[in-house]
Amino acid sequence: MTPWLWLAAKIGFAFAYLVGAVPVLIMMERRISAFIQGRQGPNRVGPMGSLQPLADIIKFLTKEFVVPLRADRWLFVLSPLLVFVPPMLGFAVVPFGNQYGDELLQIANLDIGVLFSMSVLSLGVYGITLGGWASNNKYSLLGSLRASAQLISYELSLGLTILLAVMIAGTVDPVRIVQWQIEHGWNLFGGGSLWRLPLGLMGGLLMFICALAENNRLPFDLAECEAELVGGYHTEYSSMSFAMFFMGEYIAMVVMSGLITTLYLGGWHFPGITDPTDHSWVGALLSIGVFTAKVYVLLFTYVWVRWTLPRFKYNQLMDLGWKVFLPIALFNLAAMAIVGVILEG
Amino acid sequence: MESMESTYRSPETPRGAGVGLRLRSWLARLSIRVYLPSIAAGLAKTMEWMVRPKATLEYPEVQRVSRKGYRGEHRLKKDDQGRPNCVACFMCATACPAECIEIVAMPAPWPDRDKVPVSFRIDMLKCIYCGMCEEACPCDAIELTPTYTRVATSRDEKVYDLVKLLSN
Amino acid sequence: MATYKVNGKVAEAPAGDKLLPHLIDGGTHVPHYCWHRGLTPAGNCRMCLVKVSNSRKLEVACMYPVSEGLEVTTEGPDVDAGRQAVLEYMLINHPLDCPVCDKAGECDLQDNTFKYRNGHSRFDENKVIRHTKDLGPNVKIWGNRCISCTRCVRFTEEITGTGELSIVNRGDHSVADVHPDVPLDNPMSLNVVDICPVGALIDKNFLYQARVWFSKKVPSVCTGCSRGCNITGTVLHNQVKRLQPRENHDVNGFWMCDAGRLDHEWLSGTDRLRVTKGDAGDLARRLVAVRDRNGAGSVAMLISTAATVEELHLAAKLAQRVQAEVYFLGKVRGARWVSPSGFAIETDKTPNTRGALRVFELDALPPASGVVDAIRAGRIKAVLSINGIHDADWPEGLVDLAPRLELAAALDVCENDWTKVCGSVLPSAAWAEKSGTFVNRDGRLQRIQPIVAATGTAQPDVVWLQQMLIELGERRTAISAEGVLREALRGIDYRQIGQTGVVLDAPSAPAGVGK
Repeated sequence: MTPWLWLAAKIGFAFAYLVGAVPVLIMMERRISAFIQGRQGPNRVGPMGSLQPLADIIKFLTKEFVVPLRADRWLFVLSPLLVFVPPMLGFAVVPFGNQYGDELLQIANLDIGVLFSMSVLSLGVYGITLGGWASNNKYSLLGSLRASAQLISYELSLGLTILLAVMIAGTVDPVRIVQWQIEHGWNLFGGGSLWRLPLGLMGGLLMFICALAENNRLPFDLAECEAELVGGYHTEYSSMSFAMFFMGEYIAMVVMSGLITTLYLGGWHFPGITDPTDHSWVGALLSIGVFTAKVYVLLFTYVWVRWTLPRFKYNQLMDLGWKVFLPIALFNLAAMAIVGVILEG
Repeated sequence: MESMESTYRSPETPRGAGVGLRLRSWLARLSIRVYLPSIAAGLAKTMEWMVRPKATLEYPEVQRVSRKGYRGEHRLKKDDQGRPNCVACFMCATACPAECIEIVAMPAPWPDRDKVPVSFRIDMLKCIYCGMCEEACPCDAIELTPTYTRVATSRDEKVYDLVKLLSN
Repeated sequence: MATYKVNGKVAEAPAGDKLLPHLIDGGTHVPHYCWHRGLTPAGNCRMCLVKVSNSRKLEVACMYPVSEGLEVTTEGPDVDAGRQAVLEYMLINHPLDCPVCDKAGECDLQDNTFKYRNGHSRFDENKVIRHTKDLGPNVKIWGNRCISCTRCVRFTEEITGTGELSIVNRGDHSVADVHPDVPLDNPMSLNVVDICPVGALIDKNFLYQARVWFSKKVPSVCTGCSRGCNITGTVLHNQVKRLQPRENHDVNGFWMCDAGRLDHEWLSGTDRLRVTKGDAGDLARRLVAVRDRNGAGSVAMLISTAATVEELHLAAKLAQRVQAEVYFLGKVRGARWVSPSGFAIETDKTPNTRGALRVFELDALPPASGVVDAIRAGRIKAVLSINGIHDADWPEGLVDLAPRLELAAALDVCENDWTKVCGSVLPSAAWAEKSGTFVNRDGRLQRIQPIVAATGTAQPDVVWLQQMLIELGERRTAISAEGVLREALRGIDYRQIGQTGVVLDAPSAPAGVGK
């Protein structure tokens, strides 16, 4: 096989992997929320209600696409795409499996690796901000302003926690980060060193919390806070354009989970299940399965947290981001530097 | 912007408390400040609910069994000869707070009875299912059944007449 | 006059008078069944027991005479105990079938049982079964409910003098009954239903028609004859279900005749006019046009003596405006019937003959047949009839002569041969649907009021006539019937008339209008 065909195959797989996760997530979200509330949830369409997302999609497709009067038509149509595409790009550097033959199961093995995904993920804020602005609606605008402030604030802490993982592993290449974890242990548990254990735990937890905020998930979904802002930045969006926002949010969740898995949870490897030296197709499939399992455990936690915690107030959100998470992340990083230099040479 | 301390009131340390109590109190305040123990408790609670049996009934397949004395749709009872027990005394219509019972009486065609209803209509949409009619009935003729599921496609269908009430 | 005490309060009454009417007039509640103010006291129901200072046992107030210094106690444990005992005896054989009894809700026995008894019967044996049968064309008896008070028997003896009813059998088998082949069919027979204190005697026309507590009772005046008996209408679902006499000793006492009682049945009949044909303003203009073409006296107005004083007044104005000849439509039936007690049923079956005489200032009313002669003679080119009853004495030949008229119009309540040939028909409100006043044969001005809503587009004649007068420039705005009355009879309004009427002038009864 030529490299181009390989690349096309991997891109196709990644696209299907991300878009295919959306209906699964919709179903998870609806059934788990129902279970937590003592209900059954949708269970009538298809076996166990599994075709419910299909019904939702048909509903979205058949709805009217409304562009508000005096909205910025061009940006209004563009912004859902801006939300939809960047998370997909971020997945390019995530190694979703071991390797098959000589081919890494990663779309692009960039030198800057993790930094690339950080930079493209932060583009998502443009889509949200422009969508709110283009709607020509004060609720949308307030929602998008909140979203942009929130994303920028939490991106700091998120970046610092990513940096922590990079420092533990000593590389920005995600493939080598995974490799390091295979050799030393998960970054979440400090990569095999007792000194780094608290730092790793703290960093992993912090990264997950910041990921919640980055993805506008409860308890940090102030951008679409129904009680105050009708629907937030997507108030004016309907039919497929709303569905794009919706899907973009879920895809961002999958990508973020993939990142966390790679940086802190040992990537595609699980001792006893995958063998890093097995480059056959069986080993490749097993590694993809382990990666998927880890990602979905995280996604389940996303949903679980959403239906457990109430929404923060905006001032609390900002307090938490700037006065708590940022100092903790900075302290973590400094401590890691000290531990790395002094204690472990 | 108000601070979190003013938003979340921490438990006060009692005056003159011993070291142990002071420590516990400080820990309690700390746990509120860092949120995490409370969040963990919340997650545990939602996980408990996730595995619990569900309160929802799968309605058309599983139907709730009405308790004794449930007040559903009315019926008119019949005597052993199949005649309505009702003597058209209007006691139910008099007692009815929703004024949904409409009766027209006529002299009975049978020698042992004086008065029977020629028309007995209950507007089920006006009815509040309070059971006053049942209470008021001197002849044990009207009764509320446990039936609560009957649907109709027009308002007229929900005005039950004598035949419908006798067969209910 | 003797001075005596009722429950400690001093009262006065002629010595020797029976106690009960004076107690009731004084505002004391004394339960009673057999005593009725319009009948001689019988003293057989024993319900009106009171304690008197002259006797050690309880005495019946309806038979006990007033004497100087008498002390009467009408309540208290011993009086109540006596009444309870009387009631218990009555209820021994009473079927307690209130649920199916039409009297329920206005039954003295029911009310007193509710007040004095505890709802429990000590009588475990079988009750005596008595007959249930028709007594006459209008009255049916449920013998089980009868408490043998003999009010009905005394009524047929004292008031109608016909004596159809008597109490038959002895002891607890005694019950009111008619003699074989002598049905209760006198012209006042339905009064026994009103005076029956229980539900034994029942009006067959009202049987199971309404539960009285749902219905509304509204005072009015009977329009069945020129006597103008005071009545109370029982109304349910906008229908007159029953008419009952209302006490007025200047007119009808306590009674009324059966014919008047049933005079409401046509009100909801199928032949009532419900749709307007033509238009009042247009009709008025065409009447004037006929006058203009053919000169004064070419228009005839045929006015029924069932019209109210107000309608007659407006009709007179209209007649003046179109220079019409006025004829009167009457209704005379049967022979005058006077009961031994003096209650009379008149032959003039319209309520306002005397009012017409007064409003039109005539000594005799030109009969309706005059209009037929005038049409034949070619004098009359237009006829407007104003009628308020369903079966007036229409002059023979009028309908056949209609083609000779340029204009035939009617204000009427029911469809008849004449309204069928009329070009314009304005449906009128009948007596139960409008306000107005009548002058009865003795010159007493009495008032009716709307007790049900008019059907269809029907309006009171007062409204139609005023619309016509406004069209002709005779009036600026329409006013109420009371306003019209003030115009017609200066110095009299509805408040003065009240519920029992006022006498307008000395009685000299006129005969009804002949055919």
